[in-house]
Amino acid sequence: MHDEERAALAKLCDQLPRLRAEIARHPVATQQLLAHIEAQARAGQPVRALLADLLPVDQSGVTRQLETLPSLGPGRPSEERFGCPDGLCDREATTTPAGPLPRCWLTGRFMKLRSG
Amino acid sequence: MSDFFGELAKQLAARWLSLLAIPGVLFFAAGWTGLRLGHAHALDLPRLADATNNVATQVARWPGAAQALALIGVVLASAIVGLAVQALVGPVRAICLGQWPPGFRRLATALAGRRRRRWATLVRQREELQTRHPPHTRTPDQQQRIDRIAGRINEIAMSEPGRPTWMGDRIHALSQVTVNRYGLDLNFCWSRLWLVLPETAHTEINIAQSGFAAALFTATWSIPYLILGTLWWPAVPIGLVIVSVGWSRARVKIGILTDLTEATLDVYGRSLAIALGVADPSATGPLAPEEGQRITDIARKGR
Repeated sequence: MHDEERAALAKLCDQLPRLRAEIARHPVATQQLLAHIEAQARAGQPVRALLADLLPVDQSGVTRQLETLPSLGPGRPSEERFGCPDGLCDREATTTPAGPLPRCWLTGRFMKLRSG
Repeated sequence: MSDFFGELAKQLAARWLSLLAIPGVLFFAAGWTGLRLGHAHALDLPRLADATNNVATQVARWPGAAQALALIGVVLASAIVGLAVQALVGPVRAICLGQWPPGFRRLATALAGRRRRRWATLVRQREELQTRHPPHTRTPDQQQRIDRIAGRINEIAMSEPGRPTWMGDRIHALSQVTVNRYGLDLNFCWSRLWLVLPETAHTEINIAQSGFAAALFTATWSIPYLILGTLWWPAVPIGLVIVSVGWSRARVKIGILTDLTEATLDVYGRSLAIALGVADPSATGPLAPEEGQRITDIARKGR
C-alpha cells in the first residue's frame, strides 16, 4: 500500500471512535459514507480519496451529485407498441407517454412491449 | 488528513455560517437600512451613510464588552431569523409541489387542467406525426419534428399532468410511472425498496434530497425580504431575485431527484420483488407489473 494511504489509514484508525461519535449526529448520507469508508478500509482498499468526500465542500454538504448532461436535446422518443402477452393474436395497442400498460381484454393480462 | 477532526468541525461551522448566520446578517442589515430609509428615501445613500456613521460613533463609545455582546446579539438574532425562515420551508415546498391549501383547490384544479390539456394536445400531435410518417419511411426532418414535440411534452410533464405546478408534476409523474409501469404504489412501497437498496443508491438519493431542500431554503429567504418590501421597496426586487434563484435551482434539483428515484426503481425494483419472495431469485430484468402489484398488495395490506 502507498505510504500516503498507510498514513491516512493510520489516522482514520486512530480517530475512528471520536469520528464515529461526531458523525452519528450528522445526516444519514454522511453516516453511510463513513460506514462505506470503514468497510473499504477493512477490505484493504484505498480510503484517502473517500475521506476527502467526508468533508462537506459547499453549503448543502453535497460532495458529489448526479448532474444532467449539457445540451443533449430532446433525444429520440420511444414509440411503444404493445402486443398479445401470449403471442396468440395480432392486436396492437399504444398508450400515452409513461401511461398505463394496455391489457389483453380476454385474459386481463398486461400486453407485452413490442418495440421501443 | 492533518487534524482531520478539527477540519471537520471547521467545515461544519462554515456550513452553519453560510446557511443561517450570513443570510441572517445580510437580512438584518437590509432590515436596518429599510427602517432607517423607508419608502420616502429608499435610495438616499447620503442619508444611509449619515445613519451608519451615527450608529458607528455611538457603538465606538461603548466599552469593549458591550460591543462584543452587541456583536453576539446581532449574530444570534440573525440565526433566529434563519431558523424562522427554515420553519417556512415546509409551506414553500407544498406550494412548489402543487399541494395547495383548501382555499386554492379550485385554482389548483384549473391550472392542472390547463397543463393536462397542453400536454394532451402535444401528445396527439406526436401520435399523428408518428402515424403519418412510419419509422421506416421517415426523413431526418420528420424525425426531428417528432423529437422536438416529444421534448416539449417532457418539458411540460414526464407523464400526464395532475398538479398545478411543474415541480409538483415531476413528483406526480414519479408516482404515476411506478403505478402504470411497475404496478407499485410508491407511497407504501418506497420504504420497502429503501431497505433493499445498496449504500450507493441511498447516498445518491439523500444527496439529491438535500440539494432540493437547500434550493427551497434559498427560495424561502425571499419571504422576509418581500415582507420588508412593505416598509422599504428596494427589498422587493431583492426578494424577487432570491426567489427566482431558489426556484430555478429547486427545478433542477427536483428533476435530478425524480430522475434518480425512477432510475432506482428501474434498476432495483426486482431486488425488492426477490426480497419479498414475489420473484424467483434467478429472475433478471426490470420488475414486471404483475410482480409490482403483488408487492403493493403486501405493502398496503388492504389499507
